[in-house]
Amino acid sequence: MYGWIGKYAVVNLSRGNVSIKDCRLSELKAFIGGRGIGVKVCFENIPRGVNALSEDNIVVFSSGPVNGTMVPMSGKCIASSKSPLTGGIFDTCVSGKHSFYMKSCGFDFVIVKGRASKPVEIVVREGEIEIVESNCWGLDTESTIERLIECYGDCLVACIGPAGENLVRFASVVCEDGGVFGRCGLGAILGAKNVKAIVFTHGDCEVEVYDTEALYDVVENMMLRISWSPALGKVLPRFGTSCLFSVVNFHEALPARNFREKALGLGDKIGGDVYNRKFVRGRFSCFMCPVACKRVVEVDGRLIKGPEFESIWAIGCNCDVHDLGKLIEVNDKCLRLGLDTISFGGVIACFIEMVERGIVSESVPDILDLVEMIAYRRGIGDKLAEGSLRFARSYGAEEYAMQSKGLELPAYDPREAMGQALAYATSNRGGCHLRAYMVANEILGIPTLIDRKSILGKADLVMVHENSSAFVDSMVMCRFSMLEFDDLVYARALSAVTGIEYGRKDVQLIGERIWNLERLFNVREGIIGDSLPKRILKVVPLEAMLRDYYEARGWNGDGIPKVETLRRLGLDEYFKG
Amino acid sequence: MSILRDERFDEAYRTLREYAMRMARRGYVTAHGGNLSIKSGSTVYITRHASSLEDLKREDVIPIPLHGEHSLSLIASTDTPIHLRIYEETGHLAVIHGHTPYAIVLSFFMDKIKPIDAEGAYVLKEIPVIEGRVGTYELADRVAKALKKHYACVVRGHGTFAAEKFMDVAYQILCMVEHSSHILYNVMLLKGLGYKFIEPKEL
Repeated sequence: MYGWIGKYAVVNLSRGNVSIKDCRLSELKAFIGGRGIGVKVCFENIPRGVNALSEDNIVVFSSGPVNGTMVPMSGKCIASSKSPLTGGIFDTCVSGKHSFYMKSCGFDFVIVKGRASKPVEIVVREGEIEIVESNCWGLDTESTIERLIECYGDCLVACIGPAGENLVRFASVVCEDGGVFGRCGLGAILGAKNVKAIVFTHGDCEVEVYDTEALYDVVENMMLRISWSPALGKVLPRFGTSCLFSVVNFHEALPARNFREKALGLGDKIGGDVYNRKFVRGRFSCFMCPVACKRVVEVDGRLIKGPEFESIWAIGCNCDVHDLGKLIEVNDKCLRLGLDTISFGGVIACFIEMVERGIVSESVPDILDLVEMIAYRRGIGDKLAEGSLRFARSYGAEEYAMQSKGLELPAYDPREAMGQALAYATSNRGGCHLRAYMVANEILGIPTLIDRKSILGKADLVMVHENSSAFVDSMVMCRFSMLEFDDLVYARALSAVTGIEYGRKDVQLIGERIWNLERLFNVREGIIGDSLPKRILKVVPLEAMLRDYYEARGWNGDGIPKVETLRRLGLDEYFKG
Repeated sequence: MSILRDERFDEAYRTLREYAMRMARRGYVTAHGGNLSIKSGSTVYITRHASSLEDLKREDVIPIPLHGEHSLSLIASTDTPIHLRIYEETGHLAVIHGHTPYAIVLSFFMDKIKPIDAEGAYVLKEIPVIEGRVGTYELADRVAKALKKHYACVVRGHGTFAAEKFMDVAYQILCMVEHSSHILYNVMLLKGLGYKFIEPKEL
């Protein structure tokens, strides 16, 4: 097998055993890896109606065929499961060498099932996986990582913090260098399974490439395109992701205070340029990436990983924190306690609005205290730990939760970009900008600026973006690469690595297959329909766009795939199931 | 307040739109090529990366500070470093860049273009041709240096840069460069075909 290793492991925590199995090439060919394999395994192994925090839920850590080869921007790893926040399928991505290490140990993916009776660490070694009793329970992520690296040497750690242990529904999984499996509550799922950490050690298995010369040509072209790209070759290396602050704000598309206002005056206080000037002390890149968009910041003499654009927005604009030093501190605390910063910002913004409206009769504690209160489920933090939708609903005020399918919305105001609005609504994992990054076309002007207020043609465009994104997530590459590469580039790289001929059409078809299977998973869970908060719907003509979108997708009026669509995509067996 | 609603922004937009359209009508830019900017105080208003000069929108005008780096350069023209360097080095207030076909063709054969038509020879005298990779600081330095001594310069295989105090004059120079290049090209062609070249005695 080229590209893939050809084996995967199933860790059964309830039984305390591990089995190693062979992958089927036909399945890898059809779902590629990463997100594609993740949804396939989840669909087949998670029974309908299972509580996401029960032992019946599973987690799939998966690599892609290009991980471990010379393909640039391939230092990523995917985890998939059923979300405790949305109740639907999700995948979440982390930067780092995890996929490379996992494959070097001889596994394309690792499935974690059941529930351990005591806190454990899962240690992935070459050809074997150990379940080891953990003595890190109760520690924050920073201390856990330090302790486990000391214990296992050359390894990568993905661990939960107190938030995950306390089943906060938007708890994250944090890795060394500040990489995070951020969204949808993977931390809580691992916490419910009594898994404190996954440790990936380094083995000697190598990824075989079908045509090294062809791959070299593709990689050379990719590197050239990266270096010439204004975004990847110039601005992201120079400013990091925080450059998006001024760009999005320029288009009046940066919301503030729970999407009640715009962040127009905040650029001088917490914008990317102030951030870079005052706090940034260095930059670093993910494994196999020449872009180096990550930042090291200095706060009180300490050098730490700085917040990305989304976190700056979520804490700064959405929660009204206009002191960059404090904002960085909040971000760091979220990392250490294991909380997703975007959802954290969404929950707090919702809470503040409800207090201001007199719906919640509490005072708003200091935001640094709120991080702890949520992570340890203390006081009002216990309710906030349930996520904005459950929190607002418990007061009969669902409309103040700025979310889609229960996942808090990120930094781009959907009222200013109709395509992005549709993408938020139709996203299978809920309010997410990465399922279809319409911001590229509607705000960044990559490859060209389109009319962001128009709805004409947006349904088809969103669908194409969603399909491409699902494919790239299944190759397990950085989504920033899509700012420069098109479907053909990915197809060429994958063909050279695997020896299987992929073309533009295959990229769309496979992406569509993955997207439809995700949708089927959600439908099976009773998640039917796509919507946005009332506040957003006052401006966005979602119904009209959804009609076009469902038609383009071959779905019925409720957003459910039609039988003929599933047949065309080779998903009949899932339909029968 | 939003930048897009600022009065100065509005004026900048109107100016850039007008001259972008003129340049496009003359065929000096391809669908999404070319760029232009004007300076006002410490702000430079420059066209967006890959914007269509045939129909410039408000959001296609990006305000960036003259000095220091700014993250809005993510969406500004790839040639932004050249524009900024020209402003720093020359004291000009408007810069225009087009993919002028005849000047580009001549740039493949010459290190400087010497106009032979009356107006070009009188005003421009000679137009230096320089080398450089698009978007680099090295090219920015070379263009700015050339524009200290000349009205315009041509980047080999890329296009013409012209700068002046007013956009109207910068545009006039750009047109002049292309007109002179067009004439020179045709004269060279006819000479090559064996026609006798008669040099004007009193130009």
